[in-house]
Amino acid sequence: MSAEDFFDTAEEASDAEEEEETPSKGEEVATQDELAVAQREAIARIDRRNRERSLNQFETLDPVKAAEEDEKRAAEWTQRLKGTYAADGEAAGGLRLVRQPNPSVDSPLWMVKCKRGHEEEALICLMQKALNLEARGEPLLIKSAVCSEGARGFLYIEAPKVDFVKKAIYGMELFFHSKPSVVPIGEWTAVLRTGREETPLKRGDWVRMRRGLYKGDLAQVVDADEQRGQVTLRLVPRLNLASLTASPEEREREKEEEKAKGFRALSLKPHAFPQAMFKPTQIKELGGNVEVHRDAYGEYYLFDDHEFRSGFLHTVTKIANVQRNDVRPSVEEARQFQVLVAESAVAEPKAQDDQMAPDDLAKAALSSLPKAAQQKMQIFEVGDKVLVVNSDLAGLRGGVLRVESNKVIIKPFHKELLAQFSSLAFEPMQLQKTFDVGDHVKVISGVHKGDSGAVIEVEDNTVVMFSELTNENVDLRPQDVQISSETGTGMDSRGQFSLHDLVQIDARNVGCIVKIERDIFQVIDQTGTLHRVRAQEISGKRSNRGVRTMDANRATISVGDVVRVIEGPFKDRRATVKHIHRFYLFCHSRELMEHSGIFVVHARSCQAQGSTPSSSALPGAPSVAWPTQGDQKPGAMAPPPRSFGRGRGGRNNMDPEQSGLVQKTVRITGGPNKGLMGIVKSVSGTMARVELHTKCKTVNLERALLFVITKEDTETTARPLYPQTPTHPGMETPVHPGMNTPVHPGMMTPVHPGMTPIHPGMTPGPAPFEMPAPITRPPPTPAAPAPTPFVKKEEDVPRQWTAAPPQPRAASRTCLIPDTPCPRAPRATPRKLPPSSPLPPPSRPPAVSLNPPPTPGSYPMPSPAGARLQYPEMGAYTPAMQLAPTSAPTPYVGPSSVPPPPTPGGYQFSQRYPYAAPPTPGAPPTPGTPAMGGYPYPLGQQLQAQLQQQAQLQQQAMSQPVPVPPLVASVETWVQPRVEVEVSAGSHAGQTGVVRELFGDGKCQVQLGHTEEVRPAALHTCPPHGPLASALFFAGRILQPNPTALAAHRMPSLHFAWGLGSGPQLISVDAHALTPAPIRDVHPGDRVVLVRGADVGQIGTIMGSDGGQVIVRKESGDVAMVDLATAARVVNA
Amino acid sequence: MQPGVCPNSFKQLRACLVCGLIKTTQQFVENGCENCEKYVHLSGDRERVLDCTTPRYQGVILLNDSNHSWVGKYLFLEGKYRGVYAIKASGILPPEVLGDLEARGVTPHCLNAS
Repeated sequence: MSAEDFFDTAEEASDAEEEEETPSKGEEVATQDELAVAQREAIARIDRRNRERSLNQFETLDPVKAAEEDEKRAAEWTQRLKGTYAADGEAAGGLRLVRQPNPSVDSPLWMVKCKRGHEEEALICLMQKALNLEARGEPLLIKSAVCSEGARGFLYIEAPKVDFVKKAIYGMELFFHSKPSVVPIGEWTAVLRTGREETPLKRGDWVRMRRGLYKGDLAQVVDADEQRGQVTLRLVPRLNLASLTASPEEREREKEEEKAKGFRALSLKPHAFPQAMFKPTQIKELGGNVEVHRDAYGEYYLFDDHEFRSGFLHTVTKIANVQRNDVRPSVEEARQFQVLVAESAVAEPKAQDDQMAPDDLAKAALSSLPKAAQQKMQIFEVGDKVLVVNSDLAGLRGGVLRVESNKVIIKPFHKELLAQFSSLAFEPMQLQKTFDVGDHVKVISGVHKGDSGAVIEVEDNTVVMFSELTNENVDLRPQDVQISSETGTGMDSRGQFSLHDLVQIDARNVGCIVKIERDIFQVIDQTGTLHRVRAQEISGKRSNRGVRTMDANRATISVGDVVRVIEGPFKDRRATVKHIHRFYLFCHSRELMEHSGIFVVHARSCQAQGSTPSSSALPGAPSVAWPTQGDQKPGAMAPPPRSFGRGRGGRNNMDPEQSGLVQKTVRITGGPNKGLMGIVKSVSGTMARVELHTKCKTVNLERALLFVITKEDTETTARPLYPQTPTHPGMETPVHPGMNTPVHPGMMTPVHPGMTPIHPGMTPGPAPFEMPAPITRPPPTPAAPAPTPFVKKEEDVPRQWTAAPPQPRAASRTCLIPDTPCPRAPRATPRKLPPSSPLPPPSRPPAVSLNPPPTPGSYPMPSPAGARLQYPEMGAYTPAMQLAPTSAPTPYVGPSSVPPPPTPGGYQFSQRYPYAAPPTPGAPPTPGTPAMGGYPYPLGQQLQAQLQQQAQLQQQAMSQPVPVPPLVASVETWVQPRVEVEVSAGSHAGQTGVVRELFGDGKCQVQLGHTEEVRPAALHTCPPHGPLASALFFAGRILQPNPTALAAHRMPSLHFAWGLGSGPQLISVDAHALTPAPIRDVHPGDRVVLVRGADVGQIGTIMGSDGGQVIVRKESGDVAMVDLATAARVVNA
Repeated sequence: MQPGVCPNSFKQLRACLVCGLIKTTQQFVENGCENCEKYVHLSGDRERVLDCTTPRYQGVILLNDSNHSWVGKYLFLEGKYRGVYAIKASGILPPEVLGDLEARGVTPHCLNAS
């Protein structure tokens, strides 16, 4: 067949196709589709001919049989070409059968493992290796290798011997060197099977931009050339109109910069400019240079090197830059394309009169919408209100009673019907959700997911909701909406951030996301201040893997632990630690309503409860401050629950001599772990298993190497071994200089050397800034240690410690500070200490203590020179700690006035703290110390004040301290936070309020107030965006969409009181003295708690009312009729 | 044994639409397709390379012994250069190339379902 023939037939074929598929295409321009069809035909012909030829070699062809076979094969081909060819054991299908080679047992297919996701690379590397080795004259003897689409993490290698395979992958990084396994012959062809390819992009398809200015924007494909990896898109332009007014030079410069960066839109920040239709007249007015051109597709404008057609930006970009899968345009977006088309048609009628004008795209945009709606299955839930649409009962409204597999059982809202049928069954397709104006709804899917608000308008296919998050009207599809009394917490996640993530707000502040509004995050930072931050401003998420800190009892707190706050405004609250930032805990308490339950406390104001195995102290451990190190260790470690691992405890009952050692704290006196302490877990023969204190590790050791430490021993001889518990030495150090100096000024100094290397590490960089001022901390004694030469041995240290009088609690707390682990702290570089540097001058500047820290545990024992160099840091360290000195009396002030000479080595951080005299007591804090340094709680001032106020309120309310842990509600179970109650006894009898909190002793905190109807007039008197207005929006229910007739009712007292300026009144009352507040008006969607009956305490949602009875859908899903008197309303937030 | 060729990068890989050989765009421009240069004439012509090769392919194999490998036989790669090949490639050859192939009776096997 000649080339001319080919073209003829190809055209015929494509004509035939055209009738079915693309009737509107012009005939001159062969489209991709037509070419593809022609190609398939051609390949089929070539294949068929080849097959005939090969068959002819063996047999004389029976013409009838051949024709039959031809037909059969042709059918096969068509099927296959249509893409519906089901893989049925043959890899490549149909015609290959003729020549399909038999797999040979001589050379099996071996399966080898390789790095997931790098299969192709591994294969290419293997090829490269094969060629390289061949060049060296030792060729690889594998025959082939296959990287199959489906098998991730595997490659198949065809080779006669397994040794060849091993040799092939030997030394290659991307392969795992496990034993190759043979693939059964029957599965060989499956290895070569390929999946269905991605459907190529077509004109009219929706995609989203992946990067740059248009990131996330919807775009429509105008033309796609996958082979070249290019796609022409049309987008709603985002033009930088501001730059038009800039001076020409500036513009010129900008342009150059952009050119250097490549495709401009990709180098810009997402959504830097607003979306707007391209209007040539507008640009011209602003002084922009717009050129008008015309081509086969119609008129277009060139502005700023970009092409604009019908108001859209047409741009060519790489296919890699667009997201093609799972693109579902929202109502607004798709509408934008339609609306813009309409607008542009009005604005530029000329653009529309061309045959190839993008009106087919507009049609595509239009047609894609209902499709998207249909694809989405409606989800009905019990309690939903529905409208029957496709049935002879169309127009009937009802409430969903039950949902079965493909039937929805509804209760008709129609008296006569209801008399006959208590329920009716419909198919989901026959129903549509419906809403009433005033319903409180939440959005369950789509772009606005997570939002909530009141329905203010219901149209055929849209619901207009007044959003509580953005205070704006939102158009929604009914299927995306659900009746709910939940107040939207915003979205759970947006982009990479989700609720309760710890994020970096700016260089200094981190915060926890407490609410996600559409583009704005509400973030509570480490000082407890609430920020509203735009998504773009957040510089990143912070991981808190492995971050730990210490609680008031010096027990480790890690993320996920439950803590009890022992002081401060959140006193006695129990909460889960969500994040740790330095020594601030971001805790989450379900009972707390503000900030989605997140609050910030200082670690030392907390006690870990039910701590995870990682914590080293028991919750109940006496907080008698400062147990000596030896004291605490065994005390904390000994309890049996410490032994994790299976069945290890069972070994304890061995012969008495051996078991005598079990559970003893020992020091290891030899071997690689020499000097470490641990607990003996089990003993067998001469060996013992010792669980180290330092590492989470159990080692086998000879018993001879163990030295049992009795409690006495620990007090007298235990050494502070830094590797032992990296955190402790640092913690303790700061105490000693201050504590002991007054007593043994000269003697104390030598104590430090052992400790010194650690604490700089504990107070790296900015840490001192956040250092809370010690309450009873002794003043700095910077010079005290310096003059004393190092004479004492390390062994003396503990003795000194135990000799020290028990510290008051407050002091112990201050000691926690340096302990705060700081994962980002720079490591100590011994290089920075010049080895030959002279003995340091008597007093070192405070800056030294900011020396980058050594890694605890891996810190080398300081060489004598190094050690000497470091001792003075001890003295220097103290002043650094004393950034917020208190007025405690100081016996030692003297030498501190001697200005210290500069450090010989020069430290990185020394600039920060100029060599001024170390602060003396009473001196103002070092510059740079934030004001909050002086507060007992290093929280923001504002919050501080607020919290104190709250604390006072709470204290007033609670006459007696609340017992610690139990939250056993022996009280009536319906008394729950947020329930509206009436106080029936006591001085407040007769008043209504809302339960704020339950205490364990049967008391609860009630916020007095009353619900009240607010007249529209009251709204007019307050500014539209003022606190009252938003309070109304959040608390009330908007009954009518008309703002002038806006009526809000049923306001929880909190908002009412807040709005009008009188503070909320909190009282503490006995739960038995509470009765449910009478419910005056009922609204579907309200939440109530059942007060009587079997389900007492259950919360449900009101579906409807009937006189004194309400229909309540309980959380369990049951629906029940309930007497209004036996329910109490649960208010929103 | 046949001489071999290997992609010199993991990026910008394209497969020849006639034989499925995978190389980088640059390699195709420099050396053409070792197997089918006589049909496609890629050497030195970037546009032609973009026309006759494709970045869309599925499944990759390594062919080290094209004459004795079952995989090679199964995929009709007997006698081809040693190298990396696509199991299936999707793309559209220029009509004149296709016509030429048809005239010579050469099947672009990797193109079986574009």
